[in-house]
Amino acid sequence: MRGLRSLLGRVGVAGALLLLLGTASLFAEFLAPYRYDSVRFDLPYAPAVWPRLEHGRLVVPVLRMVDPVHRRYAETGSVLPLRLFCRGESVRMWGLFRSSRHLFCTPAPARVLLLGADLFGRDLFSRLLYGMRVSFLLSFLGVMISFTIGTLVGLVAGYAGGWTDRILMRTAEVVMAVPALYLLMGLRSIVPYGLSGLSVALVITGSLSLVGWASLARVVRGLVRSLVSRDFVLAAVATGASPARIILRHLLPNMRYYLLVAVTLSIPAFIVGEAGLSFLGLGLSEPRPSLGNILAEGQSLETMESAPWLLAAGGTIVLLVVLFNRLGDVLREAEEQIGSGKIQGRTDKNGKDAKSRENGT
Amino acid sequence: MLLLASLVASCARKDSQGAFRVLPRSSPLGGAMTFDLVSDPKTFNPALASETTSTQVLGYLFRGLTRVSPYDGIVKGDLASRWSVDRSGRRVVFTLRRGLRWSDGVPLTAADVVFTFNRIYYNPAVASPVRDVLTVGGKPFRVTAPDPRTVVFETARPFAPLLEELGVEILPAHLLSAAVSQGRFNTVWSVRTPPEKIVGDGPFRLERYLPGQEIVLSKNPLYTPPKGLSGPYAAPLPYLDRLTLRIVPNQNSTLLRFLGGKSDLVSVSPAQVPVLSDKTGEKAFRLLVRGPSQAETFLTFNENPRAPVPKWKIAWFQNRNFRQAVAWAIDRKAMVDVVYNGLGAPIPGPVSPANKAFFDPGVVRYHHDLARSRALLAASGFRKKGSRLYDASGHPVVVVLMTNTESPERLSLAQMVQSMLAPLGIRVRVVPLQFNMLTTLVLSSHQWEMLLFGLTGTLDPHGNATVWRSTGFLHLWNPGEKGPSTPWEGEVDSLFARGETEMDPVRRRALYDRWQEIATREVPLVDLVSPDAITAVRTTLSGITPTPLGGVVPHISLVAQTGRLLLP
Repeated sequence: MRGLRSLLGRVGVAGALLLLLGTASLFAEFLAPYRYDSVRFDLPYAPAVWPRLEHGRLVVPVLRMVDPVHRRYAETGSVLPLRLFCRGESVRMWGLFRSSRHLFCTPAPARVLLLGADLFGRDLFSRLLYGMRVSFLLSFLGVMISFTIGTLVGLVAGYAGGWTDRILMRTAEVVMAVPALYLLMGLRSIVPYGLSGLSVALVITGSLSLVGWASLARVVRGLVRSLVSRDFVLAAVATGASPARIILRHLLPNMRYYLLVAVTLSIPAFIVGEAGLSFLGLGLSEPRPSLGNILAEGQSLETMESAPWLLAAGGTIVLLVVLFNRLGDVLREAEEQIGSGKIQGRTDKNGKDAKSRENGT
Repeated sequence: MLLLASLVASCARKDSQGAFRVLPRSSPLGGAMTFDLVSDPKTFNPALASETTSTQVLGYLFRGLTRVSPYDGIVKGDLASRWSVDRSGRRVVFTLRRGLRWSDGVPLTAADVVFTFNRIYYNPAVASPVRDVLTVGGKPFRVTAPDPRTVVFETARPFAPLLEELGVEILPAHLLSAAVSQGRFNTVWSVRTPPEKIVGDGPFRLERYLPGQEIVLSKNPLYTPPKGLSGPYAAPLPYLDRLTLRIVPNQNSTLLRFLGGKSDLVSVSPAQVPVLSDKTGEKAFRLLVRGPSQAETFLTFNENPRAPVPKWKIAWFQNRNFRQAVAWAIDRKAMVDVVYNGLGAPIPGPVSPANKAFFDPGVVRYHHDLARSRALLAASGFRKKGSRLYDASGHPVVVVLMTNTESPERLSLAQMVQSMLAPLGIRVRVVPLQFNMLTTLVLSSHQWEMLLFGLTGTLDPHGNATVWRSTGFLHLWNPGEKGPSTPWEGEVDSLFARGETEMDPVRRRALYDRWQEIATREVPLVDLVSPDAITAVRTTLSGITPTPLGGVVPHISLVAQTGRLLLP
């Protein structure tokens, strides 16, 4: 209990919710009652079907399409039991081993649709879970790549100064000047068509991060410029520490909170970027779900009237973006507290460092 | 709460105020009609027009010797009042209507017809897309004019679809002969030509064209309607004074403009019907459902041995059992229900059932029957291991299915094909491509495996020759063949060759029946489903009724504006 409270204190409600959503999407194979590509052509745009309590047990009503033109459905009257921890559709957990256990499921003619169905009768709730996982994975991967590049370039440019600095920063500015959307569309078009959906997604993440590193590199470089003239860095230089040691031991630790905040704030950019590309049909290809391509289906006048629940994908994007931004705020506040409250500890450490170096000389 | 209540009340009031009202006009003559185009015309030269926007606009400005009745497909006279075919079937004598004049007042004579064919359509320097259909056995027709109202067509061999093909537009010799002799015909009558310079013989003439905005057509007072065409009102045709064609960015905006009362006619996709069907009273329009359209949507396979595709895949596609297995695995009812809201029908074969003159009811009709698919695959040595299918030499059956991105319905159909073939163990990867890229891959580099595509149908089966003849330009599954590579392709070639010259309608029909039976047995094209053609028409217009073979406008000059629309 204390552990949970301290975690909440550190990452806030937003962080805890994100952790929950992340875990849920990680276990999508178990939590989702159906596979993302499990179709039911007799249930296009079927509305939500919730389990209900009848004679003391949970049952799911069976739907039947009564009007294909307006996609109106009626209950046939028969119900089937909802079972927990049941054996349902066979899925490959994390692509590694087969499993058919699901948190809940119901036998065939009935279908639990917590959020309704899409055009092919696929369960939107299941697809959102899988789609969210794609968003999480791609954004983490993208942030990792862009941060590695951005931080390295920023550190080198800031520390080295002179021509190295100028060349690296002008390169970063050129990269920032390239309109990202067109670059991505261009990159997407040179990817061969036979590739599987996941490799396309990886290519997209790669290209998104190749655009994303530049702004970070500029900020990191600015931070480094301001830090290199500080006493503790000058002292380290005076003691003959190697540039690598100065960067890793003195500069990076002093920027870690800034970087952490920047990471949480740039994840939403990747989520929105992936969604935007998939929305334009350049990202993950069907039947693989992503928040963007689920939302793309809901964009026309007709689906907004007949299946407004498809917009839930848009809601999920908004929710994730808000939560990540809030997490960034929480982390920044925590840093400010540390900055004002524990400043003593940090100077102590630096002082000790300096003393030990004096001893060494 | 109060706020919410007042909001609801104001919405309800707005709704009742939003209803359109139709007031009767004092006279049904001299009205106007507005509809939308989603792209600009590329040319105003009928001999050069190839895409549908230009041909649609030019259809109001020009006409040919004959026209095809949209009700029964029978060829009727337009500029010609009558004709006679001699016993050899190689010579047709047309008599033009009396008093024909171009819209600038110059008489239209047989010399214009001779000029149009000999100097324009048969001129190798003119980039005309219709030249191919105006030849028989590669030879042009001999066109002569013994007197100003008589035109004689002589063909090298009897040519059955001749009368239908002579619906091509006739052009004025007095304005264009100079351009033809100077070799600049390919640039005359472009979209930048001043409207009054474009002289036609159709019911309307071009009044104004503002690129990206609108095309305004006004009544041609010198129009002589075809023989036998008459409407309910005793007045010269056309009834309408003006047609306004607005150019809008996309289909969604045509629908919104129609619902806003800014246009009178809009074609509707089945998915849009639920949005429209409960607004017919409020927005004063009718929904006209014409039944399945002529267009053919199909799956096809790359059977080209020279294609850069693994040899074993080509071998599957060349295997009739494999193609039939795919045909039996498709649930066409589900496709209609899911993609077309139940408003459509399975396509039984290359000729639409609406085309009663040529449809053969004896074709093989495929329906959803996985047991047959499995039996056919097993008979050809395909084996299922686990959830995947392997061919006799152990290759897993994985196919790339391409389609074009412009049509969301086709993409949905492709995804349905993907999941319908999954129970057989066939893995399908759907790859949507832009239309131009797709045609390059299919027709030039042959780098494709399976294709979901559509072609517009023609009334006369001879129009299918470009697809079905082994040497045809659109012989998709094996283009660029020197001759037939299978016995059945050889038989289809000879059927089309005989159908072209057979003048007896019963024997001709028998030839094309045989072709339809071969086509559905060999299934190089697996026919899928066709949506109902649906049009929404404002109730202010009359003279608009659905026809089985054409659109909803049997003849543009019979459309009249009987009511005036009052917007709220």
